[in-house]
Amino acid sequence: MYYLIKRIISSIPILFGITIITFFIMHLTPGKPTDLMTDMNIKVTAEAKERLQRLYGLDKPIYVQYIDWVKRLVFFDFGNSFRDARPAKNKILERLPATILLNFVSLFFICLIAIPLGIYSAIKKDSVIDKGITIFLFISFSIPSFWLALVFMILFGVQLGCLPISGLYSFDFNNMTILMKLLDISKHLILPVAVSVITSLAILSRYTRSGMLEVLKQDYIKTAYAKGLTEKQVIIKHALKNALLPMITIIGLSIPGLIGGSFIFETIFSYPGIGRLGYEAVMARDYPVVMGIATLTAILTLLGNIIADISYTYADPRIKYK
Amino acid sequence: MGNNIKKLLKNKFAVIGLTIIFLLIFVAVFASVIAPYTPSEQNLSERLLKPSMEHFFGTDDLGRDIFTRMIYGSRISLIVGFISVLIILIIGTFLGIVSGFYGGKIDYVIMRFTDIVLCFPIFFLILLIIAFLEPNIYNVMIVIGFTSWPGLARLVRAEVLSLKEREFILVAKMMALSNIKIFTVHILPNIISPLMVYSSLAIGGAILTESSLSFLGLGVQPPMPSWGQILTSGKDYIYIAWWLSIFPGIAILLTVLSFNLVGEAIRDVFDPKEDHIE
Amino acid sequence: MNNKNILSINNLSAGYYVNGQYINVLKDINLNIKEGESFAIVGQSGSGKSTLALAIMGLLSIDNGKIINGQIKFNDEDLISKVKHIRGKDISIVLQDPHSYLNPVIKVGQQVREALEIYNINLTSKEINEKIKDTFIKVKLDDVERIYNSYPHQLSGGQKQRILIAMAIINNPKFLIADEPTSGLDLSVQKQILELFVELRNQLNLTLVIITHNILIAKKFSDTTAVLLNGEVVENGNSEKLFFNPQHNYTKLLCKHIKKIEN
Repeated sequence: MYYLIKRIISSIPILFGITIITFFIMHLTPGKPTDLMTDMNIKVTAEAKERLQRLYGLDKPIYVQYIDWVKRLVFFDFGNSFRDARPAKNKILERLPATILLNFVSLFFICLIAIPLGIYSAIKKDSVIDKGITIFLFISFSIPSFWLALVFMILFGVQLGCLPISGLYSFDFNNMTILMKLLDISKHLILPVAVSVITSLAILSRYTRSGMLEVLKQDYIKTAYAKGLTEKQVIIKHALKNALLPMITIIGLSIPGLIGGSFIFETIFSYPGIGRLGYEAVMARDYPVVMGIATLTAILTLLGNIIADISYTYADPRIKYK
Repeated sequence: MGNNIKKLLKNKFAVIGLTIIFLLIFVAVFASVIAPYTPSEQNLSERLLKPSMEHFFGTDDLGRDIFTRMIYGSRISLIVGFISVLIILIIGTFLGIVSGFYGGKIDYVIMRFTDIVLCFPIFFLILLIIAFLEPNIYNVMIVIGFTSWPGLARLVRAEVLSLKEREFILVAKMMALSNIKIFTVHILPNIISPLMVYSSLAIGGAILTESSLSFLGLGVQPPMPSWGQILTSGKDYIYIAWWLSIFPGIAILLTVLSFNLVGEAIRDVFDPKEDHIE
Repeated sequence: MNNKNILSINNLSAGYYVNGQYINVLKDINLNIKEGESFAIVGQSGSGKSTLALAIMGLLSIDNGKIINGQIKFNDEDLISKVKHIRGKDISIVLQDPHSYLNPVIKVGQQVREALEIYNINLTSKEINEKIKDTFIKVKLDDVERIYNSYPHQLSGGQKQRILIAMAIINNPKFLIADEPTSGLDLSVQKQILELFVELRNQLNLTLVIITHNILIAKKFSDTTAVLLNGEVVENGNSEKLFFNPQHNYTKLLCKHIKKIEN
C-alpha cells in the first residue's frame, strides 16, 4: 500500500512535466496558435483574429496562459475542435474504446506468441529452430508497419477478398445478433491486430530469450536437476517464474510503443480509434484535439507504468516480503 | 580492436548487412551516375507502366521512373538516418554521462525529464511537432533527434553508473587523477561498443520513422523522392499498379534489416561482459 | 564398515567447452570410495574438485561441461547413464553457497517438498508433511512452520544451508556429497554444519563425501582423504596418516600451512 502511494506521489512531477511540454509544443509555431485556425480562411479580418485570440486567452502573459491550461486539464477540457466545434474531450472519448480494444487484443497476442517463442529459442539455443526464429524476428522487426498493412490489404482484402480492410463494423452492424456482432468486430480486428503483433513481436521475444538464458545459468537450476527433476519440470517449475518476472516491466514499457504504432495502421485501415482521429487532427491542424490526444496518451502511459511497477512488486516475493 | 573486426566479419549476417549498407552508400553517392533518368522527370504519356527494360521498377502516376526515384531516395533515407542519430548521440550521450557521473540533483532532473518524454508515444510526438512546424527533411531530422534521445541517455547513464562502481575507477580516483582523465581513459572506451550497437539499431529505426512520416505526408515533401513517399502514391493505386507499393517497401525492409543485423552482430562480438578495457 | 566399494571412478577425464574450445579439467582420475566411509576430497580452487562432484552427479552439461573419457560405477553399475534416474534419491549432493542455490521465488518448504514428491507419488499429504517435519528436525530446523513458509531471502545462511541438506537427505540416500559445505557461512555456523553432516551420516548410515579446500576439515571429519591438484589425484589414503605423514609435495605444503595456523 505504501508503495502505491509513494509511486503516485513520485509521478506528480512527471505529470506536471507533461503539462509543460504539451503547453510548450502548442506555442512552438511562429505566430499564435489561433493562426492555424484562421489561416485556412482568408476572409477572416484582423479584427476577428484578435477576437479569437482574446477568446483563447492568447493575449494574456504566458504564465497565466499556462495556469489556465493546467486548470482546464484537470477537467480534461481541451477546448473545442477546430473542425466541427464539438468539445475535443467528447471526440476523443468516443474513439478511445476502439483503440484500447485494439491495443489490448494486440498485447494479448503479442504475449501469447512472443513469450513462448523466446522461451523455446532459449531452451534450444543455437539450434536450427533458434536461428530460424531469430531470422523471422529480425525481419518482422524491420518491416515498415504501414507497408505490411498495405500488403495485407492487397493480399487479404483485394486478392483473396476474405477479410474486411477498413473500419470496425460492417454496414448492417445494427441489425446483427450479439453473436454476429462479436464475429463482425473480430473479423475487422484481424488485420490491424496482425500488423500490430507482427511488428512488435521481436522485442519481447528477445528479452524473454535472454532472460531465460540468464535464469538457466543460475545455481538453483543445478539444485533442481540434482533433486531428480526432468528438464521439462525444471523449466516449468523453476525457470519460468524467474524468467517471466522482468517481462512485466518490459510489457509495461512497450505500451507507449503500441499506442504510437496504432496511429499509423489505424489510419491505413480506417479504424475508428484515437490514432486515426489524431492523424486527421494533425493534418487539419486541429490543435485542441491534438493536444488532447497527446496529453491523454501520456497520462495513460504513466498509469500503465505505475500498474506494471505495482504488479512487479506483488509478483516478486523478494520485494513483497521485505 | 583488430581481433574484434575479424570476429565481426565471421558472422554471416553481419557481412550481408554490411554489404547492403555499403552498396546503399555507394548508390546514394553515385546516384547521378547510376540512375537512368532524373527523379523529377515527368512523362505523362508513360504513366503507371509496369516494370520493363526501360523502367526497371515501372513508372508512377506522373510518369516518373521509379527506379531512379528510389536511387535518389536512398540518399534521403541515409541522410535522415545518419543525421538524426548523430543528434541523438550528441544529446543522449552528453546527458547520460553528466547524469551518471555527477549523480545527485542533476541526475534527478535529467531522469525526470526523460521519464516525461518517454510517456508520450514517440511517433505521435514527432508527428505533432512536425505538424506545428513545417514538414520538410530538416525538421524531420531535428525532431527525430530531439525526441528520441531519452532512450540513449538512460542507456549511457546505466553504463556510466556500472563503470563508476568498478574497482579500476576507485583506484584511479585514489590516484587523484582528474575527472577528465578518468573519463577519457577509463569510461569512454567502455561506452563505445554499446554506443555502436545503439547507433546501428537507431539508424534503422530513424529510417523507419522517416518513411512512416513521409508516407503520412508529414515527412519529406514532394518532389523529394523518399521511399515512404513513393509508397504514399502507391496507396491510391494498389489495385492497378502494385509495383508502386512493393519495391520501396522491400528497399526499406532490406535497409533497416541490414542495420539491425550489423547492430546485433556488433553486440555479439563486443560483448561488454568480456571486453572491458582496463 | 565393510570393504565394498560403493563408488568407483576409473580413468575419468572431463572438462568444459568455453567459447567453442574444450578445456580439460579432470585428468584420468582413479578413485574408490568404500560403502559407509567418510571421504574427503581436498584441493584449491581450480583443482577440479567441484567438477568431480558435478561429474559424479551428471550435472556437468548445465555449465557446458562433458565427461570425455572414463567410467563411474555406483554399486557396480554404470552411473553415468543411470544417474538422471537416481539423483535426489540414492545419491544426493548439497551444493556450495546456500545463497544462490535456492530458487528465490519459491517458498523453501515447497522446494523441500518437491524433492520428496518426485520419488514418492503415492504418499498422502499427511505422510508428506510428517516426513518433511521429521527431516527439518533432523537438520535442526526446529521452527518448522515458519521456515517452511519462508522465502530464501528471509532466512539466514545457516538456515539456508540446512534446507539444502534437508532436500538432499529427505529420500534417505545411501551416498551424499557435500561440496564446500562451509562456504558462505560464518565461522561459528561452519562448525555446526560440519558436525551436523557427521551426525546425519551416523544416523542414516550413509557414505559421505566432503569436498573442501581445507585439509584440516578433511582430517577431522573424514576417514579417507584424496588430494587433488590440477585435475589429478596426487595422494590418497587414510586421513590421519596422510595429515601427519604426507608423501606428495603438494600435500606437504597444504599440511605445513595448516600446522602453522594450528600452532
